[in-house]
Amino acid sequence: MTKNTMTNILERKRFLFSLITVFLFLLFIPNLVLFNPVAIHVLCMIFLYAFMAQSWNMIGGFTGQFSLGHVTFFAIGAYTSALLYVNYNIPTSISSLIGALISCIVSIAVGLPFLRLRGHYFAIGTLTFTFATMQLFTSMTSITKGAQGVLIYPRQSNPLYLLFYDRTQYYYLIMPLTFAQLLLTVFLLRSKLGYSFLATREDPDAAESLGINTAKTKIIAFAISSIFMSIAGSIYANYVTYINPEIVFSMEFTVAIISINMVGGLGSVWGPLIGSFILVPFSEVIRFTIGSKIIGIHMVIYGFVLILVTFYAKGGIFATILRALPKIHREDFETKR
Amino acid sequence: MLEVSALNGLTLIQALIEGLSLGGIYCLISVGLNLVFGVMNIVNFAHGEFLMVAMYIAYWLNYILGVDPYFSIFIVAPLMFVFGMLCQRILIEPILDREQNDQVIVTLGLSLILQNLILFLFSADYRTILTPYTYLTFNIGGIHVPFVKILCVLFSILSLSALYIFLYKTKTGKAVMAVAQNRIGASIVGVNVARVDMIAFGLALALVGIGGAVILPYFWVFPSVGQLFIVRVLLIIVAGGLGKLKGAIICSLIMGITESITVLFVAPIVKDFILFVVFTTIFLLKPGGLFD
Repeated sequence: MTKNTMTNILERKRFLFSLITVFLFLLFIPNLVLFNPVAIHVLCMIFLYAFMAQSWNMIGGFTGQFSLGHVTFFAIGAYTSALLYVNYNIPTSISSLIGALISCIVSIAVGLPFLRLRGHYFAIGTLTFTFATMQLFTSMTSITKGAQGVLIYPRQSNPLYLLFYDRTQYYYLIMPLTFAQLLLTVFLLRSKLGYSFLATREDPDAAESLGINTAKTKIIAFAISSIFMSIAGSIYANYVTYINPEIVFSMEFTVAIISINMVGGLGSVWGPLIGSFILVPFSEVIRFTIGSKIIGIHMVIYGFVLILVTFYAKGGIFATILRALPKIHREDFETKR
Repeated sequence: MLEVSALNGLTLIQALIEGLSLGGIYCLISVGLNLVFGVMNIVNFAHGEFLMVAMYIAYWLNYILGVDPYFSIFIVAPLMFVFGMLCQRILIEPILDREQNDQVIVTLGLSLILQNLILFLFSADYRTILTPYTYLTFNIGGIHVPFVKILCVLFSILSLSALYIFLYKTKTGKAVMAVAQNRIGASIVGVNVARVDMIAFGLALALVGIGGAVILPYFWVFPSVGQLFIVRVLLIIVAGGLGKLKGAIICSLIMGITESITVLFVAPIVKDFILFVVFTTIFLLKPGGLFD
């Protein structure tokens, strides 16, 4: 990434100004909701899901390769940090990076056979790999305690360990992290690597003819996205303090992050955040109210959301509205039509 | 993790028979999936859920009306056929022109809706039926062959033969194959492609319906049973070649036999992982599928 690109972006004062405003607003939301624990929890989930959705976006939205098994890296991150803490008292800030490294290696191992080809192979490969890995984790009872799960214990409040008693502190961890990832994504997209992502998605043949190694690009995108997903998993494990294979490999995460991307606008930078702000509170409210009476209702809703958005609002709900507004700088909101 | 339990020739043959019956079921499901892919170029990720629906239909037919599962085939299969045609018309046809990723999402959404709707309607309880012949086994020279597994293999062979006759000997069947070979060319020579799409999808679901009714006597019914099967079947069609029926049949048998032999040596829980490794290897060695 050249110095020119960097200054170009920062010179767009409006962009910088709006970014800072949004960040400050987000910083003080907890105060706005009077630190209501339920609201804080929903906010944490919004940003955590936005983080995960953005990481999926890197391979799914920008590079066009749908990974149906992203939750595997989530699980790897969760288990790595949980087990390293419980067994060896390693701080999560470090173990999450270890988990990210493992996820990176795994993603390259899975990506190599399936990303070389076009077509459904990658989606199928990731889906089946998730099941296989879940079985593996459940079977290795000596290491992972199998279906019994891992309890994050002892509990403490320690920033280095990324463990807190107060959910508000988790918010101040997750929100800036998501924001930092957003910034990173913006810069990534304007870099040569980012352009090769987009080119691979738009027209692989043209990209190849220009000298872009599409296979390598796809694998890099997959590796980067797996790293972020893994970090999200580590944080999630600390947040919920108990994990087992069924929780961390749940199809619900895959579905949620794909839905969030579709609603927010597939392949746009702000899409995951917007989609998350729309879908997560909605699903949490549904879960609180009728979720206990009607089991599985929010998954049915996700299913309908997916189908309806694909049929009628492909660029995402927000982008469809935004197209009516001419003046806003649209590159970051632009999605693939 | 490694255990060798009474491994001898008899156990091996037993596993082989078990594998054949499993393979038969996988055949029915994967051939349907491949048929849909060949004709419409869509991988139906909700295929497992259709199997689950068929199993529930057969289950309720047995539970409420006492219909024997093997006779219920004659109700379930036509029902699934019509259901398939409806699904194709309402959900699949609009996305035929869309790009691949959209198709994946719609079929994924469909699978979610079906799974969780059934979960809501009938709860997550594992259900099973009891028939007079559930425990019937034949002892042939030391090998115990359950009656239901024999019927499994029998029905698979019958269904596939019926499919073969349909595809190669009837006019509609040949039209289906024509569309699979060349969509535009088929429409030029006068084939009603939209109708063929519906028929192909309905046929795939009918096959799955037969499969579901046949498994019912010895398998449990629960909302996520579809996921179990779709994972294997996807691996099968990837290894056998997307759209290639012969590859699907052969790979189904390989999958069934591999599965039943693997449990002789390894703890059942890692079965999926080993199958994934084995079939990914097959896929890596011949990326276009086993048969070109």
